Amino acid sequence: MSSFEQLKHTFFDECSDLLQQVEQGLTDIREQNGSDDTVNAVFRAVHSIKGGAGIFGFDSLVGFAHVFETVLDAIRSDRLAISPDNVDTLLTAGDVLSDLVTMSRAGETPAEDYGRDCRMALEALMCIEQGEEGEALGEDFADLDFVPVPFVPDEEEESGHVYEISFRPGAELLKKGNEPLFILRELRALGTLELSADAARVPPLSEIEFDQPYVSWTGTLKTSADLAAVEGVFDFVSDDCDLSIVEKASAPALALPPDAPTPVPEVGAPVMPEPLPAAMAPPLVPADAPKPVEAGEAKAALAKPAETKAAPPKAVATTTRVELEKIDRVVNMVGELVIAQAMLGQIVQDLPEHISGRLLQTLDEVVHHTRELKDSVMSMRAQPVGAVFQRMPRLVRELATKTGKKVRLEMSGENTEVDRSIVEQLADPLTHIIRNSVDHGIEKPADRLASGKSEEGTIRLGAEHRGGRIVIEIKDDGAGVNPERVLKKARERGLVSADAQLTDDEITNLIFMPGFSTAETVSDISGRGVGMDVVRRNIQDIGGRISLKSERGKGMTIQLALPLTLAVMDGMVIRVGRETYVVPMSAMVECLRPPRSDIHGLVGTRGMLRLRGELLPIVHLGELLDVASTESDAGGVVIIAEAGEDIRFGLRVDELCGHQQVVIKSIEESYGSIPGIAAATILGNGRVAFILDTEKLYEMAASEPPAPAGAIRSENAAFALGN
Amino acid sequence: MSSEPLKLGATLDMGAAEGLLLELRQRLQFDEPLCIDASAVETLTMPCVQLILAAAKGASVHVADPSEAFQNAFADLGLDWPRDAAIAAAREAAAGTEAPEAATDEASGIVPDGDPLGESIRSSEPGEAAAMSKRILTIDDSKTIRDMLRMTLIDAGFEVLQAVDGQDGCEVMDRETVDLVITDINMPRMNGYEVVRNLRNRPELRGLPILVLTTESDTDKKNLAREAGATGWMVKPFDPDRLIATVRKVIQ
Repeated sequence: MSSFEQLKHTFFDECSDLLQQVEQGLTDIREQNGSDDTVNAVFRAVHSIKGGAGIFGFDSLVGFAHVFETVLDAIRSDRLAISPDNVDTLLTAGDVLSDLVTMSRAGETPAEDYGRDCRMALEALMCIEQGEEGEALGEDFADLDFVPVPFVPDEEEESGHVYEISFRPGAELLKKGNEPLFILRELRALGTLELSADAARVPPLSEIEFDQPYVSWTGTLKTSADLAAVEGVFDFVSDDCDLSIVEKASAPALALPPDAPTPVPEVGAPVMPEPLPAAMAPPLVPADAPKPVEAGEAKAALAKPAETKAAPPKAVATTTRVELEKIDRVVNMVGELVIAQAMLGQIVQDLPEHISGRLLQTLDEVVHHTRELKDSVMSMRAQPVGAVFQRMPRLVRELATKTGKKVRLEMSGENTEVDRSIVEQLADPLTHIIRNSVDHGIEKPADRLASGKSEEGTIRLGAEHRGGRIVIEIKDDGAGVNPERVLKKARERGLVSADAQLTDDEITNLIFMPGFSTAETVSDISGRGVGMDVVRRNIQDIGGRISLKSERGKGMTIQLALPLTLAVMDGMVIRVGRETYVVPMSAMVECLRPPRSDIHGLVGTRGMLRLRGELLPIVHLGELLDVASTESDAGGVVIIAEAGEDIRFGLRVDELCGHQQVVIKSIEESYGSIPGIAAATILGNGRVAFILDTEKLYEMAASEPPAPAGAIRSENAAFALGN
Repeated sequence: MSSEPLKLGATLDMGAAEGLLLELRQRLQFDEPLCIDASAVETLTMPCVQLILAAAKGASVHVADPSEAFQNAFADLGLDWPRDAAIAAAREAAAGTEAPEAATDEASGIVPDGDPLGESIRSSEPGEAAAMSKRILTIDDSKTIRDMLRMTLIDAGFEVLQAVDGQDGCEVMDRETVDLVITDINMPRMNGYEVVRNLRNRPELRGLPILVLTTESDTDKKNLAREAGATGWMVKPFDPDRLIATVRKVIQ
C-alpha cells in the first residue's frame, strides 16, 4: 500500500525533527538552561516517536521509547530529580533511541538486547525513586498492552449469552457529547435486544432541561458476545450513568466486574444519585426564563479564562512542509526571470531615449521586485545550520568516551540560516573537523592538568553571517598544531623541499595538503583515509574557503566561510578583449584605474601595484586565460580581489560593464572542471559568460612563471565557449 | 381549530435542542393542540426526542408524516411518538378538501401513521448513509498520526480537517463546523484537556462529540479527559477498523 509507505516516510521525517528536539532539550537541561517546558518538549517528542512507531509495529522502538518516556514523565511531574548522572543517562537514551529509529528506517530488526544497558540504566533511575513500582517496569513493557479497552469481538462460537441490562444516563452524559441512541444501537448490533424504555420522568415542557437525560431503559440482550464486549458498548459513559449488566444464564454473582459502577437493581428505585437533583432544579426557575440570556452569560463568563489560556507562553512559528522540489522549481523560475529581466534591460537601453525613459522607470521597479522575490525564495530554501550542529554533541560524547578525554561542546549561532544545499554539504567536513579536534587537538585529562588547563577540554562551534557569507568557526582549547612535527612529516612525505623556509602559518596550513596526516598512531577515529585535504576540497567545491589558525599549546581555530546560496549571486560583469566574464561581488574589495606610476615591475611577478603603501601582485586576466586584451598596458581597470584570508591581489581587466545579479549555472556536467572558472551564467544579451574563481586564478598565476610580456597572448579566444 | 403545523428541521441533535425547546414553548404557551410535521427529519437524537415527549405531556400533540430517521430514532430508543387521533382526523379532512399537494404526498407513499414500532420500516441499517458527509477535525502535533487518521477516516467516507496543536484546533473551531473532534493529549501550546474544556465552554458546541487520543492505557488520563468533558477516548496505535468503530460509537 503506497499510502502506507508514504505515511512511514512522514514518520521518519518527523522522527528526525523529534530526535533533534530531544537532543537539544537534553543538552539545554544539562547546561541548566532548561525549564519545565524543556522537559515537556522532550517528553512530547519521545511520546510522539512512540506513538508513531506503534502504528508501524516497530516493537523494540516502542518498548524503548516507553521506558524513556516513563522516566521523562517522572521528571516532569517532579517525581524524579535531575542530576548530572541522570542527564547523561538520558542523553545516552536519546542516542539509543536515535539508533533504533535509524535501524527501523533501514528495515533492520534491532538485536534483542540492543540498548539493554541503557534501558537498565533508565529503569534503575525509576527504581531508586519508586522502589517496587519501578522494578515492575522492566517486565512490564515487554507485553505492554497497547491495544486495550474497547470491545474485542472475538467470534467465540459459544452459544449465546443472555444479559439483563439496566441503563440510566446521568446528568453529565449528554453534555459530554454521548448519545444514548447510539449506545443502544451499538447494543442492538451485538445481538437481539428487547428494550423497554421508561419515559415517566420526562418533565413537562415548562420544566425540561434540554441537556439532561430523563429516560432510562431496561432490557434483555441475547448475544454471542462476552461480557467485556457488552460492557465495551458503555465504555465512554460508564462514569456518567447507572448501569448494571447481569448475565442471566450463567452465575449472576460473577456478572458484575469489580470496577463496575454502583449497581442499581439491588438498591432499588428510591435512590437516584445524580439525575434527580438535576431534574428537580428547573422548577426553581420561572418557566419562561429566557434560556439564551443564561447561555450568553455563561459564554461571556467562560470566554475569559479560555482566552487567557489560549495565549501561548511563547510564540511558535507555524510552519508547513513543502517538498524541496517545488521550491527548487520556483528558484529556477526566478533564475530565468532574472535573466529575462536582464535581457529586457539591455533592449531598453538600446531604444531611443524618449521611449526608454518611462520604460526604465518601470524596469527599475521590476528589478527591485525580482530581487525581493529572489531573496524570499532563497530564504525558503534556507535552513538553520543547527540541523548539522545537532549531530555534533553526540559525536563529541562518543569520541570523548572512546579516547578517554573530557570534552565539552559549546555551540552558538545554531539559528544562522544558509541555503539548504550548503547545510547538506556541511555535515561531512564539520564531522571531520570535530573528529580531528577531539582526537588530535584536545589532550588527555592528565596532560591538560599538567599544562595548567582545566581537565575538561572545550570545543566551540559557532556560526554567524559576515559580509554576505556565513562563517562557521570551530575552536578548541587543545594543544594546537605542532609546527615542528608537521614540517618533519611534510618533509618525509616530500610535500615540501628540505630547504624550504616556511612561516608557522604556512606550516600549519600544510595539513591541508593531500596525503597528510599528523596523528602518530592512526586511530580508528580520524584515520579513515580522509584527510583535511578532502575537507578543504569539499568546502571549496561549494564556493567556500577554509582557514586555520593555531597557537601552540593553546588551541586551534578553523574557519569556514561559505556562500549563502548556490543559485543566484551578485556579480560584476567585466570584459577582456572580446570576452565577457563575471567576478563574484563577494570576492571584490575595490576597483580602480591606477596611474602607470603605481605599477612597479618586479622580477618573478607580472608587476606589483602600490596601493596606499601596500604592494599587491597583479594578475592579467587576459594573459592567464589566453584572451587578447584590447587595451594597452597603461589602460584597463584593476579589481582588487580577495583570494582567501588576508590574500589580496589586483586582477587586471579591460573594462567593467556593470553590476548585476547572475544566475549560477553549473558547467561541470558539460565541460568538467575548468581551472579558474567557477560556473557560467547567461547575460542580458543572451550570451553565456563564465563566472571567475578568483582564488583559483591567483593560484594559477602564482604557479605559472611569468612569461615575457606579450609572448603568450594570442588571438585564439575560442576557449571552451560555444563548443 | 389547530394552528399551522410545526415543521421540524433536518437535524435535531443536541445542538438543535435548545432552539427546539424554545420553539415548542412558544407554540404551546396557550396549550393549543399542535401538529408537528416530521417529514424532513434526517437526524434525531435523545435530547430532541425528550422534548417532543415533554411537549405531549401538557398538550395535545400529533406527529404527522414522520420520516424514516424519525421513526428509527424513536424505535431504537424503545419509545412511541405522540399522536392525537383528533388532530390527525382534522388534518386528513383538510387535506382531502383543499390541499391537493398534501394528497399527492400521501399518494406518493409517505408513511402514514400506524405500525408505531415500525419494524417493517426499520429494516435498513440506520446511519450508514448519514456518515458520508460527516466532518471530523483531528488535532495532533504528530504529522504521522494526523496523516494516519486522515487516511483512515477518508477511506471510511468522512471529511477530515486537521490542526497541528491545541490552539490551532480551537482556532479552526472558531470558523468551522464539525461533527466530531479527535484530539491528542500531549501537544505544545495547548494540551488536549484544555482543548476539551475550551470547546465544551462554547454553548454552540454543547454535545459535540470529542474523542481524545492517548497512548496511555492508564485510567488516570482517561478520567482527566472525561472530567474535562471528553466524550470518549481512543488508544494509539489503532487499527483502522477499531478507529472507525470508535468513531461510529459517537457519530452515526
